[in-house]
Amino acid sequence: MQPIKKCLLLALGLSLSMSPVSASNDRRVIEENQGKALLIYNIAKFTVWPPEMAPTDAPFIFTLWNDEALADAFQMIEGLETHGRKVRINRQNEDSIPVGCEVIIIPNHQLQLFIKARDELDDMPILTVTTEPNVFEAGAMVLIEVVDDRLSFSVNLGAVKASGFEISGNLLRHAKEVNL
Amino acid sequence: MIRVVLRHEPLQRRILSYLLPIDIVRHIKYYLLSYFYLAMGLCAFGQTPPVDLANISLGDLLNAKIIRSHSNQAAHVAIVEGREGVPEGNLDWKRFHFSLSYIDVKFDGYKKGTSDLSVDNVLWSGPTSGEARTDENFPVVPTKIYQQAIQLKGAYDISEQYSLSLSIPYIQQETEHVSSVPGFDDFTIISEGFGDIEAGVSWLHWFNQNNSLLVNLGLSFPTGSIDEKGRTPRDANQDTQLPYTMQLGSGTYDIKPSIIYTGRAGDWTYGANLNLTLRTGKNSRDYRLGNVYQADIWTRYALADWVQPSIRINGIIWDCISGQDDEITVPGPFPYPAAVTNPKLFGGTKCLALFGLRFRDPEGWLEDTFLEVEAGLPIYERLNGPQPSEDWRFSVSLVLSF
Repeated sequence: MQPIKKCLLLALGLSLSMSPVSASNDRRVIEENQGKALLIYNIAKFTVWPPEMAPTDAPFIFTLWNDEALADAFQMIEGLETHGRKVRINRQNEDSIPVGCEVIIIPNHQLQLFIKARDELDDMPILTVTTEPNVFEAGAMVLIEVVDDRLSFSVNLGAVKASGFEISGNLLRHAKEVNL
Repeated sequence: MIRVVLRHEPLQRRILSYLLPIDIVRHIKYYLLSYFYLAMGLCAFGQTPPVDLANISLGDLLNAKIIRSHSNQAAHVAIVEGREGVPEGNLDWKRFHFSLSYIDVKFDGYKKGTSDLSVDNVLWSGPTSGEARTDENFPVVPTKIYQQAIQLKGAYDISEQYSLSLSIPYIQQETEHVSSVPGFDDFTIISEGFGDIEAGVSWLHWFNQNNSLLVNLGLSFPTGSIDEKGRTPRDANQDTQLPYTMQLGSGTYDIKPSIIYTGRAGDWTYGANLNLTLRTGKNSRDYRLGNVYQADIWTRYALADWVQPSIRINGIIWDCISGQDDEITVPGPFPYPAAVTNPKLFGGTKCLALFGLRFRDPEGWLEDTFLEVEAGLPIYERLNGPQPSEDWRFSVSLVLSF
């Protein structure tokens, strides 16, 4: 047994001295809301806004419309940069239509208000994103979902193009569904 | 002088004495608990800073395993309750988990305290040899003990936080003996059958995406036999009650609480476990096995997406037996024919180093299935002896989720 014991102790020493240098392998674990916030942030990075976008010194605003839990998760990206602008998180806790932002995240309980405001929003350079299939079917541009414990997204490309946005082809090939 | 003494000691003790001051070795149980708390403290180290998470690539993000956000669980439940026919929880996860494990442990040699004893030290050579009989030598000496168990465990997730589990062990034990009893120079005893079935309930809490705590409360039922019999030198003509080590269960209801902390930092996963086995009452043979207190610290490294080596340090403290099975004693001034029949010669402290490999298929329907092989041996033992000493242990487990 002595050689085996020596080998085991050597293996112990080696294992403890190993540094994490190799490529990552196992799946990373992420909380649902954090994952959704990060995916929306990434989609915004891969989207080109129409020319009438706000000036470059203005903040890049994500508006969370009466969704405090998701807004909390968005705090992690506050202050980061996208399209050369600082990200700001706007919590809108009123039922009025959020304007003056680049991305609006619409929860299920704002569906009726969204339907009423849809035409008005279509005329603005605002990317409409939701985590609810009902809202996506009602005309939101991007749907974020969790399917089989993985994040996925679908894009209503017709609505996206109608509002003057362009979404990178590299991003679209990861989409679960692209509605033309 | 010290060097001469150390040269005759086992390798692991020599290495340990170089690595640790002797006081640490003497108080290893307190240090094991300290290690546990230290590992719990790694929780903070394991958190991925938000900036790090914000820099995650799109590919990694879409491949990540998404867990329920507990911060807004109430909101989720409220939404779900408003829909008829939709099960609680809006994430699809695998609720059934099964594991099949094979465990093999070999005991060889004896120890009293931390000192090794040979079989000759423990064997009393008989009345004609002129050797004095004492409390530390015996006419019957188990030389090698092999314990094998197959354990089937099933668990069902009631929700993402609570699980129920049931564990059924099947045990086979084989002990080789030498003795100074005429006609029993060397003999082997085997016992086998189902052990104590254990039911448990678990609560899982995620501190964040990298750190979790699993609290489990188990109850072990006395389904394993404590009436195993075999042919021993006590009676050459009929089977008689076997010693404690050859029984398949404890004979008591045992409470088994455990706490498991798991953390993750990059390709490293690490954790600490604290498992207790607390016996209640006495069994039908008027004894109670000792309580068992176990602590582990471990780490696993994702060397490739299909293989993860691991190292685990397992510390165990267990008590001696309370009460006595009178059927395995003999009349006279020395009632214990073998060390394993003396309830006071149980219990001790030991520390094992275990090396493991986890294999998994990173894709396809076997994604949540893995095969784990682990082998190890004691690096420190202090036994209430003379008591059989562990030589090595090996286990292989297949874990399935669906």
